[in-house]
Amino acid sequence: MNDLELHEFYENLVRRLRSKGVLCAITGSLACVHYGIAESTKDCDLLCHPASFEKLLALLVRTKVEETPCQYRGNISPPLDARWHRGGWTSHFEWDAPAGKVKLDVFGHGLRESRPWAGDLLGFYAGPGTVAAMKRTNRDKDWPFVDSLGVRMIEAGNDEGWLHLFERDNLLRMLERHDCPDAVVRLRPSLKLAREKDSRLAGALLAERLLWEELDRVRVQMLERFLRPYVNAMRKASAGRKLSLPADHELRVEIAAEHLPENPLADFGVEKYVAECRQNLVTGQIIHPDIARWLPDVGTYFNWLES
Amino acid sequence: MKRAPLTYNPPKRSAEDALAFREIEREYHVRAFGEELARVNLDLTKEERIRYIQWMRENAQKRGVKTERPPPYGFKDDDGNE
Repeated sequence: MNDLELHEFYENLVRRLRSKGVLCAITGSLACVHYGIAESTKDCDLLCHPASFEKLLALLVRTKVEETPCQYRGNISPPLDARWHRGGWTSHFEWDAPAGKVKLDVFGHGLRESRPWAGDLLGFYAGPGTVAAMKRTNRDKDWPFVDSLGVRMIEAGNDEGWLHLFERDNLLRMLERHDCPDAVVRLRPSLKLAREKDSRLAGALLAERLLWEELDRVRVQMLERFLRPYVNAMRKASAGRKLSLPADHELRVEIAAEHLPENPLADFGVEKYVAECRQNLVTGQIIHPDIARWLPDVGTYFNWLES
Repeated sequence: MKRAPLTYNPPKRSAEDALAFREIEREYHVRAFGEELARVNLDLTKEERIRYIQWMRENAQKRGVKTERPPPYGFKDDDGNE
């Protein structure tokens, strides 16, 4: 399958799911390419409402690529089950086809979504706000996508785009021609510095980005620690056997029930998690304590974990 | 239209405004991604962009560059080896 056929394959998957009433949308790299920002990854990230996981699993069981059935990826994938996706776990699938692997990562929630992703769709794709929020990771390469989506959102008349501009020059140039509404500035204090052309702006924007990176780093570290016993149990239980997708799914649910906490971040406490990440930046002397007061309240991006 | 629209509403901005946006956007893409990818992002259709990405990835693979996305959660592979 070439890349064009691959895009069609994933869009067709969404089309078939929606015809069955499933709320789903493509996000991640493929959405970036769709919105006009080239990303080299050809794996598909799919947002799917957890209430429809049974339908999605049934479709994956029926869908073959070059006669190759779909399977969970290795031992690391948590089950496609609403209980774990509510806590921010994701599920990973692949078709190990002769011409190359076709991969699908499923998200029940948009990571760092400040409101439900399902309210922000454009055709087969998640809206740019959802895609940009999911790109606020601890990987350098993701950040230019966030800014690029922010610019396009403002251009389209979506003021939420102002929340996604992290490069000083880009932000100041945009402000030269366009007003940023007060309501948005209240959500993001660094925009006040931008409006006033304050020399602390670059530091505030960098601190903000560093906070997002720290939040992602700590989250991944925490999930990895909790995932390890599950992976070990999966390795023992599957013992190299090739199981059908439904049988593998049953096994994963069984093992997850015993070894994988459903919502480790909420168990730890979202407020505590955010506070610790902010504190890490200050105590590690990564940011100056004075600049910390320009950081936004990011708790709203994690409320879904406790709802 | 080269790129997918981000709104279902008709454009509200003047032609001059739209042009200014394009200029700011292009400057940012050149800074963030470089001249060539800025062109791929802003001047090509989605289909052309996808073909370009495939060509870029295949070229990289021929030269031994790993283009696979790493497994999640910091594991070395999908089986959970570290």
